[in-house]
Amino acid sequence: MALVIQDRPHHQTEDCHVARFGSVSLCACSHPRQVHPKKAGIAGATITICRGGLRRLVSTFEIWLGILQGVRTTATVTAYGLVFAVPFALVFGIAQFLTTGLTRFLVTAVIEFWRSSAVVVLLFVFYYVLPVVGVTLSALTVSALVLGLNAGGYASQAVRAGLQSLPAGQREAGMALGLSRAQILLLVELPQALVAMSPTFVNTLIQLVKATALVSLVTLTDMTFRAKEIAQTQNNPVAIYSALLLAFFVVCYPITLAGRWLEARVNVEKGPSRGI
Amino acid sequence: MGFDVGFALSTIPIIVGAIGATLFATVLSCVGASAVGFTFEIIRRSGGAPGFAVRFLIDFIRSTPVLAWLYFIYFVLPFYGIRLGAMTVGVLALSLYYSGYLAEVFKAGIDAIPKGQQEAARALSLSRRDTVVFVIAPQMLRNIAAPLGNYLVSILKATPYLAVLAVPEMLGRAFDIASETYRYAEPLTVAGLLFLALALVVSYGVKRVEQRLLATGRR
Repeated sequence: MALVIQDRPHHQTEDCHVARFGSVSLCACSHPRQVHPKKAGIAGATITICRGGLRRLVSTFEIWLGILQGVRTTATVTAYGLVFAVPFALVFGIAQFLTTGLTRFLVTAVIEFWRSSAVVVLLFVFYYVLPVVGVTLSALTVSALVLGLNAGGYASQAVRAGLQSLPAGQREAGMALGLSRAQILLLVELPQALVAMSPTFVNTLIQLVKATALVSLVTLTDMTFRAKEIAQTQNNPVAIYSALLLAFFVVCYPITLAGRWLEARVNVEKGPSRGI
Repeated sequence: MGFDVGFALSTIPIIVGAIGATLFATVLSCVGASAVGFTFEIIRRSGGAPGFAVRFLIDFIRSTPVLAWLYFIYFVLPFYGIRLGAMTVGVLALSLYYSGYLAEVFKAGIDAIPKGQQEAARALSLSRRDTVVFVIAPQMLRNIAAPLGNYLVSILKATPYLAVLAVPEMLGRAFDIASETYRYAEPLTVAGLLFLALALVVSYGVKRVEQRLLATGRR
């Protein structure tokens, strides 16, 4: 029994591979009711088994790979975003913790600007307003700046809350040991606060990765942009947008799992045996 | 071409006029997300295959961006012959997206109720439905007031995503002005400031309600 793979178009509309087992020809195409009587070459005995399901799965996978070409941009914006987010969160979180009066009000105002604004609007405002006032930045820089400082605003609140929730005895013990205020902050308070708040930082990181989907609206070719590009050439929204969701899931879910692992560890350290 | 303050001021009434659509989408999405989120949490608690499926769905929703859900619902439903307005699609997407987060809020709210409450309900031979409606839900409401309020603010800040589907809320209206006048900076700045003001006002209101609830809720 010979297996012949025919490679030529036998439908009017699309190419399709036909495998012929003797008198039975197998065709993997998405035209379930279309029979092609002559091409199989054996009169009257052509059975076409169409495997639309398999075909669809293969094309969804291809689309998914196409979307993943945008993962580079997603990762780049996230990484540059962190360059803005981490220093902002540390500096402003600590500043809000240490300062009082007018200074604290100003620090809080800056944090609230980045944190309470809608990130979508913020991105568009900076993208369109900065050139008007004479600052020309690339779309990538603007995106990283806005998304990063927005995430940094959220994280700064975790830094401050972490510092505030430490018992006063920690600082007092540091003072009794003759440490300066800076030393107490760096050696006693920050290490404990940052560890306790690490699950929150992981959540903020996930929010940042997800927020990078927005950069598709300012012309960067991230995964969402790739999905829209593919949607222009193929009329298959189910596969394209499922693949987009799946692509983000594949990127973010490992971070979620790492966050859970971290949370479990931090909680263990908080347990009753600590300090004994 | 510089920033034209006079033009910016002239766009304020037009953009403020769309505040109704923004608030409408916020409130409806919050109600929808609460309903779906609570249902998710109840199914998750009942365990078995549906519970496992919902647990995965919640993780999936929380690992994917709201923009992707907006596109998904907007383009996939018409493919199956379901045609809905952009506002409906937007509210559906926000409801589904935030249900994943609100399910966690409900989980924490229910976990905080002492176990004896459920045991007492069972001792009184209340049905599962009655236990949820008369014992769990009322106590849970007080526990979740604060995080629910925070998510109301989050949803408010997510409504400008609907501008992508050309819903005429505040950002959408700002883009309308921009495309008519070819001036983007002014209307978008106005929209940005209005969203900031709105978010600050709503979060202040939420904080006040929260304090009131905590003050009266103490036994």
